[in-house]
Amino acid sequence: MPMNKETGRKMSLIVRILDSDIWYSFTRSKVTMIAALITFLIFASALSAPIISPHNPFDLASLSLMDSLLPPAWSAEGDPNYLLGTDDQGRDVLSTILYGSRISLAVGLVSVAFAAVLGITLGLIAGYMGGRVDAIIMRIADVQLSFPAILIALLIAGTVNALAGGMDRERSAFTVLVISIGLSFWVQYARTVRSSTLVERNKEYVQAARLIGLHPFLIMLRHVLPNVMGPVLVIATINLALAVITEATLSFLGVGIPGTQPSLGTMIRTGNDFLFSGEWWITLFPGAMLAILVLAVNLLGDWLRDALNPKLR
Amino acid sequence: MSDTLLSVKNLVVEFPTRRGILTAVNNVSFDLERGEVLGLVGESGAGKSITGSAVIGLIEPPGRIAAGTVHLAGQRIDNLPSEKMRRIRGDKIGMVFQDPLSSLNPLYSVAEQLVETILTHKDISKKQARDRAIELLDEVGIPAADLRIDDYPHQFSGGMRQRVVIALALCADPELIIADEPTTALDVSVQSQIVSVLKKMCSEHGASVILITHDIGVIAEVADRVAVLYSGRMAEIGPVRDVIKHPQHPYTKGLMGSIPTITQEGDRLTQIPGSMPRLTDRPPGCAFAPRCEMAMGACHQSHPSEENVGTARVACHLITKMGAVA
Amino acid sequence: MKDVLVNVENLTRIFDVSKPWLNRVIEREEKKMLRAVNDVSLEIRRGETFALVGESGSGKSTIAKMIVGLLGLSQGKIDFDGIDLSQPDGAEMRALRQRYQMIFQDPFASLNPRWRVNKIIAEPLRQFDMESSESDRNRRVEELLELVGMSAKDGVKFPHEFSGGQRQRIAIARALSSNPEFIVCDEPTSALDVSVQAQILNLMRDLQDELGLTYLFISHDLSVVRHMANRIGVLYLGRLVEVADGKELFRNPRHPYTKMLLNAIPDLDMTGRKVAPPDGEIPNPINPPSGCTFHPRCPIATEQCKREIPPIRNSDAGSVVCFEAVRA
Repeated sequence: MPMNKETGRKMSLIVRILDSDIWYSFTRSKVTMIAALITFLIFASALSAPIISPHNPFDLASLSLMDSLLPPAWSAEGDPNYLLGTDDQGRDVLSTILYGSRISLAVGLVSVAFAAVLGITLGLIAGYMGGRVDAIIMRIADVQLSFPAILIALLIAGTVNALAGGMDRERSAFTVLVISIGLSFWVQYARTVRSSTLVERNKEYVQAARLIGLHPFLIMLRHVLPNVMGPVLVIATINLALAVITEATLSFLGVGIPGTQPSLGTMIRTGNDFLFSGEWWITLFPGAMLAILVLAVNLLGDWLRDALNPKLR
Repeated sequence: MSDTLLSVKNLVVEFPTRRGILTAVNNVSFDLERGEVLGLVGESGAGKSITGSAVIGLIEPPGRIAAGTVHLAGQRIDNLPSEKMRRIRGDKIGMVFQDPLSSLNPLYSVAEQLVETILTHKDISKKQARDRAIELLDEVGIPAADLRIDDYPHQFSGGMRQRVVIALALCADPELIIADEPTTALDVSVQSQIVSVLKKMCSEHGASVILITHDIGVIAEVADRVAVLYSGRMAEIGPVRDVIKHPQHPYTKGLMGSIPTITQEGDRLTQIPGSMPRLTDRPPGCAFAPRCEMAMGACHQSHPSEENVGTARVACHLITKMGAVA
Repeated sequence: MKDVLVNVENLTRIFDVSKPWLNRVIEREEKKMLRAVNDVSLEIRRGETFALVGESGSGKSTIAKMIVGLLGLSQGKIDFDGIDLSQPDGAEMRALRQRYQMIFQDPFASLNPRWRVNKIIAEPLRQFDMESSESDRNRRVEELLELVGMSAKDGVKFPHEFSGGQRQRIAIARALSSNPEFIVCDEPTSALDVSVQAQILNLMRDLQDELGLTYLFISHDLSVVRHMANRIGVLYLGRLVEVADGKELFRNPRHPYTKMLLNAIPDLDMTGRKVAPPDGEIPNPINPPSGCTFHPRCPIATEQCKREIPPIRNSDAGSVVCFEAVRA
């Protein structure tokens, strides 16, 4: 009996989604559907990189310096084994892009999640508690905003790397990146959630909960949180693109992912050194991949914002 | 020249949505005589505001007038291009809406707004326009009008703001005033002041009024005739005294019975079971039939046509069959 | 001997509406205080409906919130069944909270849009540990839905699927779930259409008869109040100016403001009576007039009224706060 009720509920959820205004507006916009398809493809290929990638660029044993700096397969000196050419270490550019996107996306997703959790929590507390707590949190947010994201990330990354020495860089790089990118982005979430919380706090359903003596923490969690999450999804989607670019920039500047397990940004950096000697493919292809990913995610975020905006519906 | 200022015939207003076409106003007809105050009364969702907007050409696309005609002083206005309609609205129609803060621009003083409107429609000097504006503010009962005219809207209290809006609506000497819930946002003691100001100004300036509201008390104080709308159609229209004291349509009867008054005795208010159907699930036939105690078979099949019953016009199969109810 | 359930003494609430400190220093402004509720005392007897009537700025909603503990008191005290509400703590307070509830004005904002209806109604049941198992809770929720005239199947739906009147019924069901003795109703029908209002008012009276409830009914609509209340208190700018028995207030109003409010009621009986509409508007509560705050609008005001605040005069009929009214 309970089993059927659950599946019944899930089925009706799917039916409700397919029938909803959001799905309708999604299917009406070709641009959005293409952007969603591209994003999905990129995510899927990054996820399945070990399976679909022709080579493993991180397996140092399989690399051969003889195969380094080969141009893409369709040009004269190209090798059909290496479709998009190789870099200075003999790594297949295509495979490195696949593995690299994996890292870039992982950093992007985790840092956005970190920023979101931090920002939503602080925004909820600031909005619900008000008074001094609110003032303190918001002043911290203001200070945070006055530093550009890259600067913060450089600061944190640089400091941690200097303290830890060069040894654990490969493992710590991921954490350092996630923390620094996350710390630069939390303010957006906090501000949005705070203003929505200020509105919801005065609504009668919150007052009804206070009336029966529900603890403020439970009120924030059970009543207010579900109602302020709306804009968060939009911010997160657009933030993802920004996080990926920030990671690429940081890696390009040398404080991000180290060169041995390159992300897209690192590849662009590596390729930069060879740009003027004519090996254009090492920079171009990762750069193009980055640009396409960011564009697709941004378009999705734009559509989501318009679709979820009640005034436009 | 006839006495009829406004003639609305068989008006149908539709809103296309992806779930189909929603008919907000379904075959509504009424006339407005010169100098009269006609109340358009109904509960939320009845279509009274949309009727008002349609009459003055303010339906936002994709909504549209799908059928019917609107004639103002003999001229047809429902099919005019938007620029022409805009000019007619400016010259001949004044509007008083519920929220004075959205009718008045908060960034300009009252003087600037009044004078600008007067100058747009009359060929007089700025000084003359200002004098006229002060006169109007005085007429609507704003004390020390010559001093207060340079104040900004937020410096007036709610009731005073609404008086300014009435003055603004009348400064171009319109023939028709549309007032949509003009007193709903005001305190009770102020409501009756505003309502009497509206009535006085309109009769002194020779304007006719369509007063749209859900508050039957306001209608009782000020209107000459009243039209009761239900689910996009007219249930009953007649002189205000008759409709309120001797309603013919079962809905109007239920409505009047459910209003608590100062003099009634008895413990229970008349209640009409259920609620007005949503635009998306209107029943076939008479929209009120599912809630009507006296519904017959015909009521569920076809919508009744309007019949004259005494001084009123009523759309009810029962009336058509059996004549006036006492 | 009157059985008093709620006793309010000298209730006062002051809001600090000054500009932020920095602004005040730069613009050299004083602190601004708003006396929303000014020395209000009243008692609500068990089983009755006591109505508080007033226009905007009268403080009626503020009083309602103070009684149920949503707002703190600046001065005064509130007793519930003899217990001073500021004293208890923890478990004792919890037990007390179970005995009173509130119904709010806006049916759209008083239900959490993301919760299903049965969860909304069950929340007090959970909070006060009133049923032992989930199935008992569900059964109770279904009972409550039917008690307020809805169907048990409505529980799985969300609030937005219902009309204003139905949402108010759901709010009533939620209020009843903790089996309270006392319910504060803050303008419960002001946002509803007139025919729906009639349904809800009838429902509230039926429930009161069936369950022996005591109501504090807040409203600006005197006709509704006449229909519902046993006793009525009239508020003006935070002060209680008159208290009288229901129908008596309408037959024999004593305070000039009460008379003004009665005159402003529209003439739905079409008697054609011509009454001069009320004078003036409610003054800004931050800067109220001196003495009796009603004097600028009062047809019988004297010099004394401008200088002094009239005391409360109690009698069998009720109480009134006016120099001239008691002189007459």
